[in-house]
Amino acid sequence: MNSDQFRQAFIEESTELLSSLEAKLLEMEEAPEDKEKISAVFRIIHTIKGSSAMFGFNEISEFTHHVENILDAVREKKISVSRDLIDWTLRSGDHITALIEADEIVDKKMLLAGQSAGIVNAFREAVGMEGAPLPENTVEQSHPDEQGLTDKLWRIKFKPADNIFLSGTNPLLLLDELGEFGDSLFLPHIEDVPDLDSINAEVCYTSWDILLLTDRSENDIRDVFIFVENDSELIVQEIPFEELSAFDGEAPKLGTILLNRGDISENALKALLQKQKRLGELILENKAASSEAVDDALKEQNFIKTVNEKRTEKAGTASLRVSSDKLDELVNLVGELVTVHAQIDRESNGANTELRSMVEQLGRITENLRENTMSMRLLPIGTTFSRFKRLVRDLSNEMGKSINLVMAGEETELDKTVIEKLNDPLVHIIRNSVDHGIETPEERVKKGKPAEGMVKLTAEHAGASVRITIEDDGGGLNKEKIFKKAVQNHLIESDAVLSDEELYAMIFAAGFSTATRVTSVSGRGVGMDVVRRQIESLNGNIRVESRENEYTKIILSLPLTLAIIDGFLVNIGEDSYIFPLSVVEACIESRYEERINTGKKMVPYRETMLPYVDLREEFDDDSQRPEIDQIVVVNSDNRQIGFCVDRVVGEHQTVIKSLSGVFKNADGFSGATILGDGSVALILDTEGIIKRSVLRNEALRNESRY
Amino acid sequence: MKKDLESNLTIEYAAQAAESLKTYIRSEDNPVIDLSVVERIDLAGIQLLLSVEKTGENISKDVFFTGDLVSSVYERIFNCGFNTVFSDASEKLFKIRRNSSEF
Repeated sequence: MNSDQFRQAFIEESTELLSSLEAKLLEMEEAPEDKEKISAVFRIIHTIKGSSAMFGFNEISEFTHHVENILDAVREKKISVSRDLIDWTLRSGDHITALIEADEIVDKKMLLAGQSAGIVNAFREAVGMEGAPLPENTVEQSHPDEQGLTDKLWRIKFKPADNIFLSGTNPLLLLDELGEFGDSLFLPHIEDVPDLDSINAEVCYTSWDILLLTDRSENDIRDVFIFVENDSELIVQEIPFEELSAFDGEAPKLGTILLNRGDISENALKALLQKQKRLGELILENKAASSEAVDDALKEQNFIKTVNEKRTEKAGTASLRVSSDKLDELVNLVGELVTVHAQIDRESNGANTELRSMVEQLGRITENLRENTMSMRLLPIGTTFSRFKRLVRDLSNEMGKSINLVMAGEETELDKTVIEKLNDPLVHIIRNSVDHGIETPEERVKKGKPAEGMVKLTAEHAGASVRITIEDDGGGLNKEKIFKKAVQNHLIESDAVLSDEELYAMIFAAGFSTATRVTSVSGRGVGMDVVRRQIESLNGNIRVESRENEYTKIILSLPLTLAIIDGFLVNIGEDSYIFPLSVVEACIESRYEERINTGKKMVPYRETMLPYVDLREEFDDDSQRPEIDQIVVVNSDNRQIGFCVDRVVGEHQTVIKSLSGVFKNADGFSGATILGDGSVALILDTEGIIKRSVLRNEALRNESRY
Repeated sequence: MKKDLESNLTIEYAAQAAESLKTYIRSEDNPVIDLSVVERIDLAGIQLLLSVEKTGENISKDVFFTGDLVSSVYERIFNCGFNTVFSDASEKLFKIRRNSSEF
């Protein structure tokens, strides 16, 4: 990696951290007392500070240094979590983003860096933090000793003064404070506690050995004991990790620990080691150390073992950053490989068994490779969702509404490209919900609803697609208004009779807005038509459900992936078509003669009657129909429907190629693929075919009426 | 007879509690100390419990502790490492453990 690549890695990492900063801040706002949430925010800023300094982004590291100080004060409860604190931390995050983006543009960077001190001063003032304001337009040097601190393991011996109770100090509270620094193990020494005859209840007899894994400095640790240090015994020692890793991930031996702690001499240990008994037993038998000391050393051994395991685990799950372009390239190559395999498979048909088995093996490997590659592109949709918390918060503030954003199914995975392209449509929809959907608190109370509105964002798997629902508990869509507006815009005749679904679909027409006022966020008549086009460009679809004064639901259905799918190859006449395998449920044989006699397009299937679409009729194929044809049973949007084809070929790895502009509007096809023999097979969009078949049948019925 | 402790087992009341515990342990053949009434405890109080146990050892009596601990007391005893000193307090009767025998 050259320095440019390092800087690029920093930019990527920081951008991710900053996006999680927003989410963490909003979590912190919800639970202002939760120390863990506060620490999480602090850690993000701390990490950005450390790595920005490391990669020479000095303006960023200096700025984050001050923000970190403010957050540190929050951790220490000198400052409470307030709306101002959240606002200013968010603003600081934006400033860091701007600094990162301005990296290459010197003038802009200087301009932004000049604003840093002003922001810090305003931030400090807003949260009531004491201290002299920074001189504006100058840049303070950050302290190198505070940078890049990572977890260290400390051994602390603490023996409080005998009379510590008399000063009103409770040593346990000091230990509590220390425990908050990180993972800790406290080993109290209680041997000196006498019996009731000799005890002086006002004397402290207890001392501690403490192991602490923390990113805090030695000074921070000593600061905990600052008021008792003079009278008490305090030893703070770092245990270097080299000492630990010398054991190759294993915890150090008992003897080493006793030796390091000074509980046993090296010679005594060596002498004992020559005997073949277990060390703990030997030490006790020989009274080389007290049983308490051995016991404590065992506990220490356990703790270090856990620490080491955690370190190994972290290293094991470490991920590798790969640019998404490279991943796209890999997917393309895998696509080519799949196609070439299909060609080899075809050409080697009838060849000797040895060649055949090699081709089959190549097929298996190709399939694994394909699955692995595709899974690399899958990202949990939560990465996009978390951004909307900020959006909803800012918008509802702006509009004086109180809105809670609820999310579910954030772990649902979708192709990276789909997720990226989903951002804008979702922003549009959520803005609409916040602006038009949710009423003002007064209106809501009048309607008998809770003053706080809710926007719910849900993602879930539904067969081969992912369904994303954006629901608000606001005013719902006003059918009358939509109808009037649709007539006004010449979309429908004033006497048209529309189903709810058809009526709601009007909101996706270009230039359609029923908002009576235009705000900065919505009501300009651009939006839902763009949203629909964007969703359709992802091979997805969008629909609306609503009930006046209760809710509006926008439901998006998106394909899992855009690149390669498991397909199910079928023939009709000379042509090949592909179903996405994930929607295919079964295949049944059927005789055309038997079917047409019933007069209805239904076939018996698993004790029910299954409606079917005859694709041969649908595609106007006049070639000779086979005597027995096949019905492919498909699960589409939670209902079963059959598709009649001539012949079923079977599973087929399908590299999706998009259709060119001429065919873009062809309903019923989501793309095409190239088969082994070089011919083209169209990929069927079952929903689209059902829709067009219904329309076609209606048209036929209408024709026959006249 | 079980010994009920006072609600405050803290430095302010430790000396007083030590006296009353001493009398109780001497007089009772099977001393059982009920901790359920204790609402506050600090290091002085914890030391007192350890001392009770040591006293029992010295005069060869098994001292048991009993009672559901209020959560703050439970946390206090079990933080700062005393969980390794007290055997499982979720049992009906529990003891103070000096050291374990595992290697």
